[in-house]
Amino acid sequence: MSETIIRKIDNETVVLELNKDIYKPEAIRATSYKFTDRCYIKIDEPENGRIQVYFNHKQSHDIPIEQLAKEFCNELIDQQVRLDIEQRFSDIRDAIVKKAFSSIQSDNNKGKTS
Amino acid sequence: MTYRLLPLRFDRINDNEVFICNEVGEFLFVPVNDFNMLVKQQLTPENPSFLDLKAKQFLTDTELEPVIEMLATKYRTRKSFLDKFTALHMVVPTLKCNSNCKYCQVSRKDVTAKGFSMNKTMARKIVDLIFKSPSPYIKIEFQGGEPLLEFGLIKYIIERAEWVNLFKKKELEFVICTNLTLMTNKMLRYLKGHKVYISTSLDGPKDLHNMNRPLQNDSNSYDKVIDKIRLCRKVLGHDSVSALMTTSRYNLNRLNDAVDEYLKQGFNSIFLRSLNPYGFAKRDGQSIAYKIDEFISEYKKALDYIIDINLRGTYFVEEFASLLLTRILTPFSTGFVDMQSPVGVAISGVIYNYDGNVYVSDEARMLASTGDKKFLMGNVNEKSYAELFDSEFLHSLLSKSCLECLPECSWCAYQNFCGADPVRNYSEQRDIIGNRTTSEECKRNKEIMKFLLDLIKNGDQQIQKVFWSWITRHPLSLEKEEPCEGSIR
Repeated sequence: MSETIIRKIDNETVVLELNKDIYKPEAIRATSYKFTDRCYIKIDEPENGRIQVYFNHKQSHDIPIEQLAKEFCNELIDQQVRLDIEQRFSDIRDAIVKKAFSSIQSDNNKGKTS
Repeated sequence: MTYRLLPLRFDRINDNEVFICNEVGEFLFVPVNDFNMLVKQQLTPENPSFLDLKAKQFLTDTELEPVIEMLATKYRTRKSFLDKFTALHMVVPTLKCNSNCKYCQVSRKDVTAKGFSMNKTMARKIVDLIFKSPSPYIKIEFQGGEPLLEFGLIKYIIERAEWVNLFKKKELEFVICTNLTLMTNKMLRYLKGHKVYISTSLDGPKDLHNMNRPLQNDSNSYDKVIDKIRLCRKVLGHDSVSALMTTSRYNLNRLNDAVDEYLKQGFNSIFLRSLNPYGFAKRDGQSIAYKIDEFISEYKKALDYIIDINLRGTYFVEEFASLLLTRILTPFSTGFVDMQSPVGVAISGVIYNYDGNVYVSDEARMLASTGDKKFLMGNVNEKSYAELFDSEFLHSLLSKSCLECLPECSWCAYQNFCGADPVRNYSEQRDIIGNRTTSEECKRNKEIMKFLLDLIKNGDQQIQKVFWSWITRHPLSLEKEEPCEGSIR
């Protein structure tokens, strides 16, 4: 985890520093969303080119905050993979949906010209 | 790189296995190493997963166009519920009710209350509006209150609908959702001549049913309901009556008893429904509600029990599982208003209240009964069909209820089997998009899907047969067979 640093602020708060060349902001935001039931999360971008994610424990959950930050790192990888593969097949997905409704579109066009 | 990756979503099941599902609901469980190689474009045709992935259209090493064509056909089939527009039209002839259900979700009115029933002028307008729907299939479902308290109005609506339909020539069907306690022989003889089905409520054996659903003047509603179910079957035929159960805290830990009661009364299915957060159910939540984790746990136990009943030779369906299994194991479209994408509210089902107010769903009407008319489409006295069903409000609601663009749902591996419910999101979280991480409905749906997928993955041939018998609605023979490899799907 050389590119990722987890720093403890106090018993309830840790901050995670992420290299934004590796993780896209979309992946970080999607991962953060998934943890909003367990922590209060703040995303910040100081001037050092890294993104900081602050985790503040919600009292209703008793998993140690460092553990949640580590789980966040794993989930972040999955979210980044989702973004990476989405780039490769999003044009195919669009083509499938367009093709699926092509008969409706051509029916509508016929209706307009008749 | 010898293949092209096709659209997919994934979920890590454990350290060894990843669940993947594509745009049309084809799915596979793949070893984590194979998944990693797949997304890195390093999987070779010699890999045992390669052909499975190709067959299920997660990758292609041939021409792309025919694959897109095939996926597009499947996609269109899955979304074919959009073709026909609104088929289910629920009508509330009255809010008056003789029941005193603990979880009443519509905040019913007393039998003697004035001003809570529909008049004939309103009924006529509503019927005429219903037949403006482009759907070739129209189901008019009478809801309440207790609709039998206004049986004259029900007759008027049925006859008016039949008259209009002489010209419209749609496939027309009626359902009365009733506690049955007021049903008479004379009413049934009338209903028999008009293609009317009965949907009633049965929450379990006598003590549980009476606890959940007492009458206002009689704590023993069970005996009356059972008596009237028999009478309905005698006059209308055995399959003319179906029953629904609602799970409150009182019967949560006794779902198996409810199943036994349904079997005892000759039903061949049950819908194990969790409590909806509307009306008295929301107001009195502390005494009758429960945590969704408790429901999920009890549901799984009850489903095991039901599967076992089937394995012992008695055909008996759990309806929620059957719905999900149809989505998981077949390419077909399934209608379930509360769980579609885009959401089924208004475009699949709509409800007309006694006062002419039109709501996007029964749950929206329930919400309105507590004073919040967020999902009111308008009133039949004031708006035309086009103004009600082609409104900016409805367009906005539908655009915010496509799973493909909702937070977390957009990349959820179980998206194809699920649906959006903006009314429930709003009721639970005061936001129609809602937050999935704290959504009870999301948790319930996902957990039950995973439970079913795990049973499918384990490949027990007898359980697969039970599942297929539920999907096809036919009891299957359950002779012993040797399990075969690759039996999933």
